[in-house]
Amino acid sequence: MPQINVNPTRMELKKLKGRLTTARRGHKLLKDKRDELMKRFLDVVREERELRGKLEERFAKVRGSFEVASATMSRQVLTEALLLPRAEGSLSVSEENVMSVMVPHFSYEEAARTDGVSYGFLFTSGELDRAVEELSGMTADLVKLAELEKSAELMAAEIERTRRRVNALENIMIPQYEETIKSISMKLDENERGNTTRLMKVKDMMLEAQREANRAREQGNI
Amino acid sequence: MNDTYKIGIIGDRATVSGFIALGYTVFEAENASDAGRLLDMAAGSEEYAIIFIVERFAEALDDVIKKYSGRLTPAITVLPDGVSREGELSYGMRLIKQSVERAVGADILFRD
Repeated sequence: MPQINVNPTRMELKKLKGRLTTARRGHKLLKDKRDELMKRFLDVVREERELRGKLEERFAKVRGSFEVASATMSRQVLTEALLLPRAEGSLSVSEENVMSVMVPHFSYEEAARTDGVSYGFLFTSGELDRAVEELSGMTADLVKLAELEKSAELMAAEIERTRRRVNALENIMIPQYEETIKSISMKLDENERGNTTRLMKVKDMMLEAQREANRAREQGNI
Repeated sequence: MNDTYKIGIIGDRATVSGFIALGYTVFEAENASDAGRLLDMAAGSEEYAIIFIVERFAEALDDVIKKYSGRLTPAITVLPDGVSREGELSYGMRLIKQSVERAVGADILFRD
């Protein structure tokens, strides 16, 4: 692991130690965030999968009804019958914060629900009524599906980002800091030892010089 | 941002005509490139919070749909069309699988 290129001083050591603590704390937080997001994400995805499966089955039924309807009615009549919306609903969007990911929340309100269908019964077949009825029953589920799908998409992106950050901290930043701190403290220790030896050496030399002086003085006295 | 949005739906005539009766805004498209143009238009207008698109076109328009994936609205959703595929996963299901793989790093939902 390449270490950061800094001067091996006490100042830098202190700075790096602070950064390492921050990195460790950030790593823990991000890891927690990732785990919790993952939990929520899997809940959403499970629900989404179930709902989509259910809707696919229901659509198969509607499709059948529509095919029968278009076989028994002329295309013109069919188009005309479906031209008028029976109830235009209103869709409102609000945002929801899930672990700092903004996800949409759709609420669909069917405006003044008029029972039955918006076309005359004279030229249309019963199959068409059934198909439209079934479709309109699916609206709430479809809106829910869109909401879940969008949430899952946004959460997946956020999880990926968070995971990358966690990995970068865990495998690169933290080891790098640790390595650098180790090498700086080793260098500082080495300096310290060098100093001590130098001092001991100087002391020895001074003692030696003193002894020499004493000896010279004694010889002078004799 | 306004308060109320519309629901748009893009697809071939046979699949989407039923939705006119429900008050969705229906865009009929003949082919995928047509659908892509309509999708850009609908998404750009910011009037639609949800845009459904039939599977057949969605599969070909992956890159157009991805453009809007980071945004809150519109939510572009693949319309389950109920065409059976005999054991094979539909495109909508495969998208779910993909997003799980992306988030978890492995597919843990469709293993069975």
